[in-house]
Amino acid sequence: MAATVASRDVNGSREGLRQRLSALPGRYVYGGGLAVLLAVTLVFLGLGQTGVEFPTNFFGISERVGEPCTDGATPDNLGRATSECVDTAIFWTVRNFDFVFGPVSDTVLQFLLAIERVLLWLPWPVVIAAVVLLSSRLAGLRLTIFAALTLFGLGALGLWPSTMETLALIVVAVTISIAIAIPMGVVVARSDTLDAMVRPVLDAMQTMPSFVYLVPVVMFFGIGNVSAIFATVIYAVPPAIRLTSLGIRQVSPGVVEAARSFGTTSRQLLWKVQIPMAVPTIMAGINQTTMMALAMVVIASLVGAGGLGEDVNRALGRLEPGKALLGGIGIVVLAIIIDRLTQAAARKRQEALTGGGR
Amino acid sequence: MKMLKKGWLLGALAAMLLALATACGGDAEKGALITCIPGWECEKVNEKQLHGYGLDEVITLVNPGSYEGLNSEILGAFERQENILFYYWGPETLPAKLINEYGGFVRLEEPAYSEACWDHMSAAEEAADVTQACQYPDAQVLIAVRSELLESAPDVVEFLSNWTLSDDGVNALLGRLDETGDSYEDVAAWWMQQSQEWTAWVAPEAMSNLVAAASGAGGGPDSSKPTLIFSDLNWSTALLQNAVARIIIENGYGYPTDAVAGATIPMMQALAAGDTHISMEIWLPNQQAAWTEATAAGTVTEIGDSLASVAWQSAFLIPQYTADANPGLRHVDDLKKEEYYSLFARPGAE
Repeated sequence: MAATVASRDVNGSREGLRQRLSALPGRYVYGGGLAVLLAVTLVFLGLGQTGVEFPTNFFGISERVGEPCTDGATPDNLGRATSECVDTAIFWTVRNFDFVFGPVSDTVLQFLLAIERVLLWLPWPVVIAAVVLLSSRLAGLRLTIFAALTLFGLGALGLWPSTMETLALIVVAVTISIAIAIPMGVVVARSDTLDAMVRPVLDAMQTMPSFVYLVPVVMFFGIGNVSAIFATVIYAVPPAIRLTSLGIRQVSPGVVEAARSFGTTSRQLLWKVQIPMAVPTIMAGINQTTMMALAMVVIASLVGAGGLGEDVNRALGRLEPGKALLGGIGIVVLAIIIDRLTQAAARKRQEALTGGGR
Repeated sequence: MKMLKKGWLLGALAAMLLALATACGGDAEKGALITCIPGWECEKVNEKQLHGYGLDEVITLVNPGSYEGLNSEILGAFERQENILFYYWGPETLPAKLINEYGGFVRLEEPAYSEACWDHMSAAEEAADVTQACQYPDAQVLIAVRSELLESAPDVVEFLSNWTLSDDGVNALLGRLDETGDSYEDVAAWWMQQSQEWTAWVAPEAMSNLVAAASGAGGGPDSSKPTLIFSDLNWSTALLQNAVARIIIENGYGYPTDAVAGATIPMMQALAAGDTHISMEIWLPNQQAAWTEATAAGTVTEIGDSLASVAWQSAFLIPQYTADANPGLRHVDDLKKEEYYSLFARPGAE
């Protein structure tokens, strides 16, 4: 009896506190907070005369963190202990995991080289004609004329081989991104916990300065296009994952319930209902991924990737802004054509789904 | 359904093309040379040397993209103990690290430098025009100051003209920096306690000031003297030399010092314009054009060598372990043999 009363009391008082707090006018809460802040500031200002140091080695944590990573003296601050440990881990991986990185690198390279060779082997009128055909089917007259003229212009400016090299790089990077993003997006769409875990990782991938991972990636995969592709994938894959997940979550519950009532299994539900309905959103994700991959072209050239990025990089090293601009224009043209084409494809799909326009 | 069939057809067509391309692509494995950073002068020189030595049939140049790319590629190969043929220069942080921690590297012998040969190489528009090639000239690293310092701070100019940092000094400083990750100032202070080398450069009364400052009795800059601004160039040896010089000038000679940071060419312009007063490292002939321009007006004066050893650069470096395993590989001509160039083969290098 006593126990029940006590527990009810606890519940009651916690609930009561919450109610009382929410009933308080906001300004009292903020006023109280400000007063505490002021008091803390005054205390620290007072201490400031003798110098307030940040505790960089509380409870000997630096030695404990740094101990397994250093041979000699363990650093006495947490920052250095952490960075030493990261270095050690990266070098250890480079030494011991070549049997993984080597084959992965070779496979991606062969894939890229094959695409690059095909694109460079095809005579340019054939490539332009293919783009014209595609855009007239998907997008319409305006884009078709734009694509034909600008692609011809790029060739006339001597940028054709670089453009094809960049295109091959983008195709491979986007293909790998899609292969990662769609399964990831499906899994993330089905679990809120996983979604909460993956989201900050994706945020980090998009905002982490690419130089930070560029150097380790080169140590793993060596200089050149493969490193460039992996760096590009790290930067470009998040929107495809996010939008795949969003697309699947957006499929209306009514449709899902209808499908279920016809007795679909969850696999059938995924393949025959959710994914087809999500295709326009997934396409939007792929479109964004492609645009972000194009934005990485110049950064990728800093680890030895060829193509338009290399043209820009070399021109800037020689202080030739004119040449850099030509390379830049090439990237812009490529971006506009790919963007409009993928958007048009997504729109077609949307129309087919909603039954509009036909 | 019709759409689907068309998709399969297209996919199959693409797959066939790709398979064909993969099969056709396998040309003979050439060796790879990790060359200089794109846009730098050395990129062209390396290409010309390769042609001049008759190596372009068996070796291809691989562009590292950037300074960071070059460094991480080389370090990755040394970590895995892989064979690698690469371009680098020194004294620099990476070579010091390779010597201290990875057993070092060997510079392949090349035809000796001669002015005639170098001029021929420089005059050639294209690598294909080069008929005779030779190694890079050894470089000179100068200290330069604003000309007005000759009047306003003659004691500092005297001190800097005595300055020449030995190879051991450079390696000790770079080694300490890499090992501890301390600030440039801390590394400089540590080195000044370890080494007596710098004491030979300093005037007696400045020396006694430094001793007094070290024991905590007085010293430090005198605010009535002009502030001397250093060019904080963006590489380690220059920053370490600046740190040592600033400690000595502030505590021994009593001039306040400051520094402005930037890349090579902007820093040269800053010196010529009077935004900075002292540059501890002017690399010749690499920066020859900018240096000629900066000294043309007479506002900048060279006052001596900065580094005791000549600075070098070479496109034909191999790891010590590669050299040990291949005693026959010592000269660039040896690279023409398949057993040696194939050591440096890498997939995709065309």
